[in-house]
Amino acid sequence: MSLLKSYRSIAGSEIIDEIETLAERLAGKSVVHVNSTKVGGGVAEILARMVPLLNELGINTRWEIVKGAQDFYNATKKFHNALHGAAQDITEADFKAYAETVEANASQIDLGSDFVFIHDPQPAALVKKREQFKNHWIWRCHIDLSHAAPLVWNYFKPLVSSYDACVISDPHFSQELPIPQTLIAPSIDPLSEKNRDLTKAEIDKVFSHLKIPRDKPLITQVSRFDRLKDPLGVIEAFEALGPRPGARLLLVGGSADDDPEGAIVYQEVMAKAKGNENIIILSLPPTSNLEINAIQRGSTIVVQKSLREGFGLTVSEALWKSKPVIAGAVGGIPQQVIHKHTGILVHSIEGTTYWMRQLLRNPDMAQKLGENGKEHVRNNFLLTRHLRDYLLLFLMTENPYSDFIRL
Amino acid sequence: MKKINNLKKAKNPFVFYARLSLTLATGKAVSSARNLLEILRTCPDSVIYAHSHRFLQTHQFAGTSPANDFSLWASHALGDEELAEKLGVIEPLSYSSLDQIRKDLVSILSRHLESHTDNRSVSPGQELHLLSSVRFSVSTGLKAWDLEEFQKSLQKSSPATIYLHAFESRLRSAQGISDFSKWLEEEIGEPDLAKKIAELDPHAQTLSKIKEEILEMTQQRLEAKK
Repeated sequence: MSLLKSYRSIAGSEIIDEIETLAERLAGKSVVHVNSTKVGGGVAEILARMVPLLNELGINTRWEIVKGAQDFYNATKKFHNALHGAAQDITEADFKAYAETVEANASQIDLGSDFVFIHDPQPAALVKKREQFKNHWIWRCHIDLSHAAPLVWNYFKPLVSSYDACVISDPHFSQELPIPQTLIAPSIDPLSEKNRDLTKAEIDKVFSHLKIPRDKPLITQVSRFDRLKDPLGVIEAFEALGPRPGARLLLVGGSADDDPEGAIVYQEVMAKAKGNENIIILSLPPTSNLEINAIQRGSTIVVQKSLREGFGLTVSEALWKSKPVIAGAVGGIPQQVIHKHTGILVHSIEGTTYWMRQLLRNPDMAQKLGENGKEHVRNNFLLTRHLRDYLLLFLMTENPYSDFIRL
Repeated sequence: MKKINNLKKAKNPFVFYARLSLTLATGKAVSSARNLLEILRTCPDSVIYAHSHRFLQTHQFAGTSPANDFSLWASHALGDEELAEKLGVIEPLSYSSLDQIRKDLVSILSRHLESHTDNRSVSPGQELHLLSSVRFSVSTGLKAWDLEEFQKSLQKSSPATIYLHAFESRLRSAQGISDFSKWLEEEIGEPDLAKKIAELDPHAQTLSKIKEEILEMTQQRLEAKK
């Protein structure tokens, strides 16, 4: 069976038909996606499924990555944090390392496809080469730009303005730009190892293997060890439940190739949790998809207390597993969590404590939130909807300046 | 399945399209009701569309939520429940023009602001970011010359097709008649079926459920003709 057809029973036949119809209009076209890592993080996860699907649809699609030395990754991590609004010590040397590395990559990557799809700031400067080609350039920004540090945004803004269109995950991230800013939410893949249905035996096996006790309800946050995910705030919220919380807290994460800060934050989290037998910290390799799936399914409540967020795919992952989610009201999270309908939005550590307590006490409410959440994800945040939107985006860039396109 | 022979054939077939859209951020945001009023007076129709019709397509799960984005924002962000109630009365799919939606929104906001002079603003980060839509009309390749073919094609149609022909198409008709109702009545002489479809309430149920209802209605009509 083709890869696309395997989504029919989960996403619905009709959307698959729509995707096939749109793809016919793009048959024979080519696309190159460029980002900075093939392992770890939401972008890599999406591309790992999106690229084969586009190829199956007759759109010749490649996936390339920009590579650099440590000074490049250090610089881009700082740019990433600064674009999210965090204070960073950025020097001329960082901009220099960035510009030189992207320039070096430009000669290594074939950018001649009909659509060049650049993800995030790391490869953004490749657009300087677009004059050599007569093709369409799209910048996909997964970052919450609403509090972007001017120093870094002023550097990227002229680059972004050279694209044909950009894609953002939430209207709050929009900027004053001379190009169309398309809103396309990212998505989860319901058939991936991280999201597919699991048997009880599979879940039990993972818990047993990772030695996670199941004697109490489990409150879990799954995310990189990253300050913007506020793991220390989650521990504080849990500790405020009191000396007998009636639950355990599990913080599970890993790091991505392009995140040098992860190890430092992990040490801070370990130090903060030390001595509390109800708190479990797990660092897993980025390929632990089955384990993450089982942990989410075996949890009672899932938390995503981010302080800044591009979109927060772990929220949709948990909702897809019908879990009640408590999440920070930042970035793209409010699109996924409609407060008190598909989950709970919080704005503080105290709010997180309050709702942990409420959901532990009210399992019926928790269950209803989870059920609603799953349907919301089915309608709006599955890979198939994402794929359809990308096809529409390609068609839009071929028909610029029109708000009504007949196909 | 046995073909029914005495079905009236249309002079013009029903051609099924799907309405898909992409949403764009305009880069503009409003922070108060007064601000919203000013923008609504002059913004393009595509902005009205994005916050009404497009909003409904992505919030089908919500059930009891307001039928337009402006009302939801007035409640959740502005904290003005009275204004939210007034705006919530506007159900976009019952309108036959975007301009009429705009006029009603402007009228409600103007009257509300005459009696409420405090002009409260939202906290930073809670602004309503104005969106617009690029609409795509996509031919599905499905076509019907009679009621039986209509039902078969409908069965294969996506919510985006049902949405366009049963509801959004009212925007193209001076009388606010949908594509389905118009064709059923004028081309194949099914005025009762056309009327029943026109009475379906898109704000009370999902498009998938509405598709099931239309299929059931056409099935009943076909049974009666056997």
